[in-house]
Amino acid sequence: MHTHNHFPIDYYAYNSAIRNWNTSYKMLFALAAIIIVISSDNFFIPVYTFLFMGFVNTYLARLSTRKYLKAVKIPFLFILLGSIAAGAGFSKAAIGIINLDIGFTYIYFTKENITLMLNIILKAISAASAMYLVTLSTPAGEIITALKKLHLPGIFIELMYLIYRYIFILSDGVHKMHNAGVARLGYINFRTSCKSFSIMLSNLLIVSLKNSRNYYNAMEARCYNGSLGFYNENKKISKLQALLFLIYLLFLIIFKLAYTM
Amino acid sequence: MAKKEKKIIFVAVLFAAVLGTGNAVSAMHIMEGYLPPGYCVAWGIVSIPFLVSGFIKIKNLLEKNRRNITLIAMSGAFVFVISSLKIPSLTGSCSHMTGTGLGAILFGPSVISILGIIVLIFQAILLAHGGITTLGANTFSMAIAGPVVSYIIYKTCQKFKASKLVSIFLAASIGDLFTYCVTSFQLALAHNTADGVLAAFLKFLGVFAPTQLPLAILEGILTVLIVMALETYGTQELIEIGFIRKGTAQ
Repeated sequence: MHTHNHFPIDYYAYNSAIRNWNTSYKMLFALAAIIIVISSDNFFIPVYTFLFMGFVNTYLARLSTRKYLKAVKIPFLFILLGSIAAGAGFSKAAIGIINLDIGFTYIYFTKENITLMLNIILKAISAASAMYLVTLSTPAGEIITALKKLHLPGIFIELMYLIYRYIFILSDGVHKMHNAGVARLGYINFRTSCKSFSIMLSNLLIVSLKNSRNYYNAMEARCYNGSLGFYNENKKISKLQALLFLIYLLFLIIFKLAYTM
Repeated sequence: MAKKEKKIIFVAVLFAAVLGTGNAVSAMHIMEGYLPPGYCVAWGIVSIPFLVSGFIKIKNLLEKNRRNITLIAMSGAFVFVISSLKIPSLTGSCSHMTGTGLGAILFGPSVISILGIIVLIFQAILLAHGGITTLGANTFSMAIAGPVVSYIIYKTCQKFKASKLVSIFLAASIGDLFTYCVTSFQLALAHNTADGVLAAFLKFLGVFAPTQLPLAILEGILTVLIVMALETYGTQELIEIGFIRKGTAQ
């Protein structure tokens, strides 16, 4: 995911075709889907949710499948390693259907454990795709505004707004300092890399702490008195969007009925 | 297919999957969808007391001086940026620091708990590291347990008059290791099939060790280098955040 933006996900969010959907709706939809997925005990619900979210995140949101799959791949290494740890067993005898001899003991995988591993992997990928419904289509600023409705403490929301903005200022600085370092043979080997990296970060901290005073002055000069106000568009939930959620639920219910019968 | 062939293919596929993905090794975030609902809620509840104490601390700092808000926010953004950067590595793999160890040493563990949860939310939103349902568990391991241990180690070392650089190294790397242990424990509690929590805990420790052990040591070294540079060039700023007292600076 290489764009001129330091955070591609943020970049996609601003350009998403479903950005104008109601933020709370998207968040509740995603949360409901995630809870349904992680409470499920079969293969159908995660696979179905993954496909459904894939359709919304690529076709409806007008994001290329390639970019979307790249985003889906991000947690992959963790999921893989974690699932192996969850599924593998150690034994002196080869009792599983796949057995690896590592000298003093066998690493074995039984059929049940492989089913379990697959289930964990599917759930994780599916839940991640449900979360992308929000993160790939909603800029963080709008997510924070939606969180405000949960009546979190004001200071917390305020800090979130400020940190979100500073993240981009700092990343910009890091990017420039990194280039400056590379141009001066800064990162040529591991030793130099460590040195350049730490000098860059300490410089970043010093500059940013200095600047933080100026930022306060700048805000005060614009009548900041303890709360930041942002313009929010009031986005209505269209009938089509409500229908989408109902369709998602409907197939789940149909499946549940078919499954129990 | 012969048994041996099967084995070789399995190992080859595994290696290809691990090496070929070229993905970032995040500092042990539990990914979205990885914990059953009960555990998500439980770890969230465990984190609440720490978050409340952190919140009260920040509130007091702001009541003392309203101008501190940009300073605190900047520190939070700094922790996020550290954790989003690729750190230098010998093997060419792509891993990230936690940054919370450094944060705990500089700003104290209670402030870091609040900054940590905000950073984790942004990591989930902007980097897809971690998730919303696993936020509670991640907050406990990365924003509370690790920083608290870092801070305790740092203070203990200071008490025993250990050299500052040694104490910072120990604080940052052991804090990192502790985070990794807590995360493994959280995973083991949720996913232990046949052989019990302890065996599962050891398995998770083992599987993540190749990425996490070098990372912890590197995080220690980098934190030391950062603090060294800070003390050389940013004494005034360190006094301002209360890391060194006036007069003790060289």
